[in-house]
Amino acid sequence: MRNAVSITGIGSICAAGNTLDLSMVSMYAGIRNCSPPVLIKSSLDTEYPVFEVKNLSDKLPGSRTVKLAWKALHEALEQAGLSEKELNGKNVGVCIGTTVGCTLNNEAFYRDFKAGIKPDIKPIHDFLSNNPALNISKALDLKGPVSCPVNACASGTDAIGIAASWIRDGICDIAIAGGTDELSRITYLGFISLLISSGTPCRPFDKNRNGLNLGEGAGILILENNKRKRKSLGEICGYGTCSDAYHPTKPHPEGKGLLKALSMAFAQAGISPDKTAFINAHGTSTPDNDRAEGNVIKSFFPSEVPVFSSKSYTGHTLGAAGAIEAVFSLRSLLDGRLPATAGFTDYDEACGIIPTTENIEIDSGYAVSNSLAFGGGNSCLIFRKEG
Amino acid sequence: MVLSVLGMGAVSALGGSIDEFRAGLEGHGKPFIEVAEFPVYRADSSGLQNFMPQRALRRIDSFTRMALLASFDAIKDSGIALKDMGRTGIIFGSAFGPLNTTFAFQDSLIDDGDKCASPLHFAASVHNSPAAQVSIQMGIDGPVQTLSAFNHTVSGVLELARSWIENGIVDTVIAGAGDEYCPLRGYATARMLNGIAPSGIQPLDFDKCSYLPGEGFAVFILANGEKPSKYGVLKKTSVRVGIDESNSILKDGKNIKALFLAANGNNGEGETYAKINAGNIPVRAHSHLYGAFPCATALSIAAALLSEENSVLCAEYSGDGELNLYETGEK
Repeated sequence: MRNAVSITGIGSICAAGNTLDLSMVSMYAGIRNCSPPVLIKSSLDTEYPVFEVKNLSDKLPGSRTVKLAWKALHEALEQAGLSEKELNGKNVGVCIGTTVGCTLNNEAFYRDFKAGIKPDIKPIHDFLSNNPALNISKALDLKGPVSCPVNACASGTDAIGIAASWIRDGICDIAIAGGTDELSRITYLGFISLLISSGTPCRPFDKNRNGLNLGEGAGILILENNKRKRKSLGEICGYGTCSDAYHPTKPHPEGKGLLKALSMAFAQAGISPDKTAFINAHGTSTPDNDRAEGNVIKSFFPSEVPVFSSKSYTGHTLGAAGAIEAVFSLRSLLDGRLPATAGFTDYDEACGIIPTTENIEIDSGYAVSNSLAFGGGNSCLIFRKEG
Repeated sequence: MVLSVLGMGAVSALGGSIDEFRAGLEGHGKPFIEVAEFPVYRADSSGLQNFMPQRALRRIDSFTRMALLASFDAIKDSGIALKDMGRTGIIFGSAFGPLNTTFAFQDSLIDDGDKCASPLHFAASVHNSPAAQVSIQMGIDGPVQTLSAFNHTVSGVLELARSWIENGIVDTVIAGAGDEYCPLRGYATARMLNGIAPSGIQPLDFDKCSYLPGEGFAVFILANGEKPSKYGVLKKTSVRVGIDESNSILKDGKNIKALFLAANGNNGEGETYAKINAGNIPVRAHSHLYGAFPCATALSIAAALLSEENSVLCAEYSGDGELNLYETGEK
């Protein structure tokens, strides 16, 4: 018999708040911290607003991407009642997704190299020691599997899905799962070059939406079988992932891959879509993405299922997005409450989605979290709260 | 469960096909070593035009070309049409991703300014670009995943393939891993070696630093172990195994006929390989034929599956004095 996948601790950090509690307070109050970038300088005429994390401790180890993961991990471990020390030498897996964190994007170093200045190679050594999954696994002296999904914007969701399979298959008893990414000048300029960044705070599913805002952060979940008998917050019931096989950057217009991914996730969970309490949509606020996702949600779920986009409070945190949204989804189930989606005012017939426009009470049921990615990746997770 | 290996593809300094890779292992071909500032083992992806129209290749970057060619080659090698493989998924791994595209995007910023950032290079610089392109070009709309964790990349790819097949998510996985060379890697290697280029990799001389960078991509067509296999089976991967445990596995593994090491001339890793007690079992390594890069372990496993021995243990340094172990089984 395969193991159930319990969640015993969750933690997050993002522009909405440096802890999960602070993030929920911000979101329930409708506050969003979206402003021109402080960390990023460019020579563009326009400043595109971003969701930056403030006051990240310098005392945390590693790159900014790794620091964000550690911050969320500390919160998740505390809730799970686990100390770092008691994990040492244990068969504990680490599966943390990223995009920025796996890329050799040290512009200053590369600029010097190009100019023939022969720079010191410390940035290479730093890069080699800052893979978030390896960094955490090594620092905690863990002996379980370690993996780092780099499936673009679905990386965080996939990391949780893969770590859940480790628990189900008995490969490890505990897994640290999630995603992390920092804001970077490279991704900032890259998304602007693709003409999918908005010059104003994003408006998921709104008729006048005109692009995404980048963000940064991390979300971490502690997954376990029930050997430790720790009180469970909830369970990962289903995970599905499928490709559109359509275009390197655009989603399939009818959301072919997302439909298949949802079907896989619901089949694994053994439930039907009418059991869904709410959907935490990918909801980036780009015209193509929201239209494709909206069409899938309309066709797959009953019309009354509430839709929320937490990116309206966090920005698009890339490899961290799916993990932060997973943490928020479980927390909303536990709170029995779902925030309003910020920025939405005008209904778009092409999307067919009216996301939450005020905080709403939610019944017990299942939460669905969607992630869509460059390359045509689509991944979904289904959660339920304990009890 | 064990995984049947139905076909393999390999792009490396030995050529752009599994047949050329095999010939090179048998001593019938020489690796292509480009000597610029520093010697480097270069892979040849030109054979991709045999599988895709030239026009379709125009916007495909060098790293993705390696992955595409290795994938087409593996499917051809299996002798099974893609449509007959059942539900198919793709899992790729890379430590560095599309390096040349990553730096091409930075070139656009440095050379032409922030306003001229290249959207094409940015879109193709994501690590999952090769897997996405294989999915698009072959029309594979099943699960598609990419992993990147340096010396844990290949083990992650094979473990996830096992999980997908064992749990009935797919019938077949196109699983592969590789890395590409870029001038910055050559520069970093030269700096690490104080500018003194070794004459060639000597993978079994563990005391000597003979590391030279390389590039390549290996792909395995994997299915349930009950399916008839062309190259035998891959058994469960053991991760982060200490030397004592590794030596016990070798001692107890009476069926193990050879030990293949992913040793690559890095004497830092060599300290661990040197502690392996293989007894009378022959020990082999082949990085002198394709160069050093984190995902070269995939080529090492391909070499093990091509060997005459039915049961081979592959060992990969995984950090901190530990090893990842891969075992092949009967053909």
